[in-house]
Amino acid sequence: MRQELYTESSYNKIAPEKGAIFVNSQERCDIMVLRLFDCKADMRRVNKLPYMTEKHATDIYNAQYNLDIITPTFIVNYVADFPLHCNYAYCPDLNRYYFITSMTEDPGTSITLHCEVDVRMSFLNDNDFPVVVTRNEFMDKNDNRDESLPIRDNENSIKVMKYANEIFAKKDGSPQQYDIIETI
Amino acid sequence: MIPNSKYYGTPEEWKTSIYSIDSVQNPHKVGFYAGYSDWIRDLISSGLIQPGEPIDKSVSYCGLGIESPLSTIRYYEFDSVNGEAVLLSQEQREVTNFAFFENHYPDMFVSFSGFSDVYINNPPYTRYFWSPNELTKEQVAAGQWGDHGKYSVFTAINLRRFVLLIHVVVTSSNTDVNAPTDIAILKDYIDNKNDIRTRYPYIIGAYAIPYSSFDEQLYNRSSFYERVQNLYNYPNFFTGILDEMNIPNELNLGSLYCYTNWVDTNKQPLIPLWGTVYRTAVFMSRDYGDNRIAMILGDGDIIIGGRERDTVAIRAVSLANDETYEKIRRACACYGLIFCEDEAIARNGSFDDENMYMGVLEDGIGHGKYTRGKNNQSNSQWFWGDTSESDYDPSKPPSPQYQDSTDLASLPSMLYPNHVYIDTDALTSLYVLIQEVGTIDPKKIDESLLFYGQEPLACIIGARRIYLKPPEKSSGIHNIMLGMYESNVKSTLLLNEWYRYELSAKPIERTFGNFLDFEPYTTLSLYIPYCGSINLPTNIFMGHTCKITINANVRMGIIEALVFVDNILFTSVIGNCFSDLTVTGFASATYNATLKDLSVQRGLNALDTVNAIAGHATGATISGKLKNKPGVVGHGMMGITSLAKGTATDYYLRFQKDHTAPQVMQIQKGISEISAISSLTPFISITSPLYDENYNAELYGKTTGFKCYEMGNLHDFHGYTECDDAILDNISCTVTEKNMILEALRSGVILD
Repeated sequence: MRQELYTESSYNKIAPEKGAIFVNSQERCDIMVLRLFDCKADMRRVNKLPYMTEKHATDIYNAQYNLDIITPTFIVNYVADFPLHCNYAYCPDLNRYYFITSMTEDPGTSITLHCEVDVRMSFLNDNDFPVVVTRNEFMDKNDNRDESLPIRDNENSIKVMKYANEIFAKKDGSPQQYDIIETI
Repeated sequence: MIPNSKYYGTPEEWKTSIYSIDSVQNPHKVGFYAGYSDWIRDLISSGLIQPGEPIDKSVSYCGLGIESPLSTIRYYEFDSVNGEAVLLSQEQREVTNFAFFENHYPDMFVSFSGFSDVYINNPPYTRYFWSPNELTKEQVAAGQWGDHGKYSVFTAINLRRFVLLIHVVVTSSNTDVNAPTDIAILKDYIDNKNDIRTRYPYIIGAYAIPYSSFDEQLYNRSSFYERVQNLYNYPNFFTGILDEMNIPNELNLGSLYCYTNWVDTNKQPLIPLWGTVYRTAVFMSRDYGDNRIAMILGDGDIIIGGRERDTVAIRAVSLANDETYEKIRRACACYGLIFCEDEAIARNGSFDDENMYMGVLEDGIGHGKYTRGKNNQSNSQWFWGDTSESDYDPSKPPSPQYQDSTDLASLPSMLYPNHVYIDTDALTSLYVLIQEVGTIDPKKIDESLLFYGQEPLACIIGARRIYLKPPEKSSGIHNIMLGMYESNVKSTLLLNEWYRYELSAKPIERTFGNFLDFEPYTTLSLYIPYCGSINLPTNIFMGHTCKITINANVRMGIIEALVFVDNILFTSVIGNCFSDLTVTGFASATYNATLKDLSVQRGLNALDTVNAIAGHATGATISGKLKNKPGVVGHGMMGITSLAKGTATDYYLRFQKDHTAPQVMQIQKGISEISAISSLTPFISITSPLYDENYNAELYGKTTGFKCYEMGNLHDFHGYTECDDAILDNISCTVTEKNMILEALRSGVILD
């Protein structure tokens, strides 16, 4: 049970957003928390935890309104030292990680965070499931044809392996030879 | 294997002789026996052995392969009436079993122990022969030396103390059997120490002397002779052949199992390697004014001469050159022991000294291969204490296997009834033969049936230049026969028509480890001289070995190349490697022009030879005596007139191409790019792509990933990964999110 910080009346001041989780905007509800991170990981990386530095945790004003769980807009409490460089967030209640795509600041009042769900960190990091892999960083020793591999068009290498023998040539390179004379 | 204890005693019974080479032997057992030895009588009377019983071969620690001269023996008889050497018989064994023996002279007799010297009154001659049959008293009474010595078999040789030093018996002439001879250590001979090779440029025999020491850790080895020379009853060291031998019936010795006995005037103990068996009692029937028989180990030209008592009538002679030296080394290698050709090394060299050799045994058989220096450690013998640790079992014949050079006796031979001569001096015999024919009186030709009623040269039914290694096995020197006319031109008869050569397998290793190793990116081409190029499918050969076996008809100049992938036959191609030397009239000007062009390019002197044959240089008036002007034309060479000039290599390449008719024959495009490679060497050409010069595999993997097709769970993979599909049944998320997950996987994720 989270701490009740806001009354119903204060919630009504904020315009409702779409995609609400909480159906009844009139009901008092638990406060949602948003954890903010500075994430330096490649966005394609599944496990971004080693690259995340938590900067701030804050309440979400508009948690009870319609929130688009895929691309939510969070309105958070304004603080003077709000980490504006944060680019990543985690909402425990939604159990999802989000890219912060942009921020809008209303000084003294609130900060609006436009987000997009990171399905990789949210679902791929903790889940394992069957896949069919078609490209991989380390599978360079396989015989599947890869047309994107860059090879030179007009240049080849030629390697020659000679069989050592004296059947056809002597050691000095001159041809072996002898004559056959057949008589009756 | 440990020798059969029934005959040779147990290892505990073996004793070390204090005066002989430091080997293990059992003096109380004998390998074979003489009639008069008490020990023999004991063995016979006890029923342990029977007269005439062959020697138990278990004492042979290895087999001498078909390449060993002891496996190819010719018996010649000197016909004192006609002054000719007649080949009585010859033998060839796949494997020859042998043993080393030591004999102990009886006190009162100095004899070739084991032999009786029987003097026969009519006709008068003295014969030395070895017989397992007990001599009668009359035989003994008739002889000067009637006793037989006692033989001890060397049941095991201590390899840590035993080194063979190669010696050669040399002579100054290859025509005169009475020419002086000398003996030299092989290295001294090669180095021409004291001008010995200058004075004696021909080799008539080779043998090895064992050097040994008492202490494994110390060298300072000494020869067998040095050890025993001060002893009154010093023993002799013999090498015995334990297999049945094809001894000429003329010796009238019946069935017996004999050995070779080399004894020179210095009583040096000898292990025979090659050439003339010198004063061998068994096979040298020393007849006064009658025939004599010599045993020739291996090849070598036969020269004969002399009819006097005590004169060696028959010798095998070879010109001293690198080929002959190598032949002798290989003969020694068949024994599978440590050997060298330098006395200093024999005395003090370590067994892995750079100048120390060791014979290679393959399944216990020596085929003439040897290692050198540190590579000696790769042989199984390196780890033996003594030769009884060998696994070789003489009772089990070797299984057929490919060898470097072997006779394919199972294939039909067309050598008879024609005479097939082989001449390694280019065109010499043919030229001389034609010259000689030109001197024959035409009346003689017409009136006799010497040439079966035809032109003499018509008796030459084939003359060709074969571009192969001259066959190793051939008979002695013979005069070339034209019909019934025996010319004065000497040549060598070809004995075997087929030879097989093995070229070692070449591993074809992958360069990239990916699809670029295969067609169409990488291509393989195998070039075999006279057969052309063969495309080798990369999907079959890549990562495997390519082995070539050449079956060569050395008479016709036809080769069949078998190409194996690993040990599986992939394909075969046939090529012709001959040039007809048709004896006929010809357009000499055209021929000379083309040949000159070729010879200039190749730096050959062939033109001079051709001119001489055609009579241009010498001005011989052969044409006045025969109907057609004789000459020699290279059949395929006529095509050369149309060839463009180029490098010598190109000329030769095209010459071979023009006159061969291989079944698989596409000279690979691009082969001119490697014209520096000799066309006489089989080779594999691998053409591969090259990565872009800016290509970085690590970066490519991180950003693009390598194409693959793998299945598994997501976290089984690492790094940059793209997935074509996934099963997301157990993930709790919205439908939209599931689609986003699939899209993310397709576009690529980075996994730990």
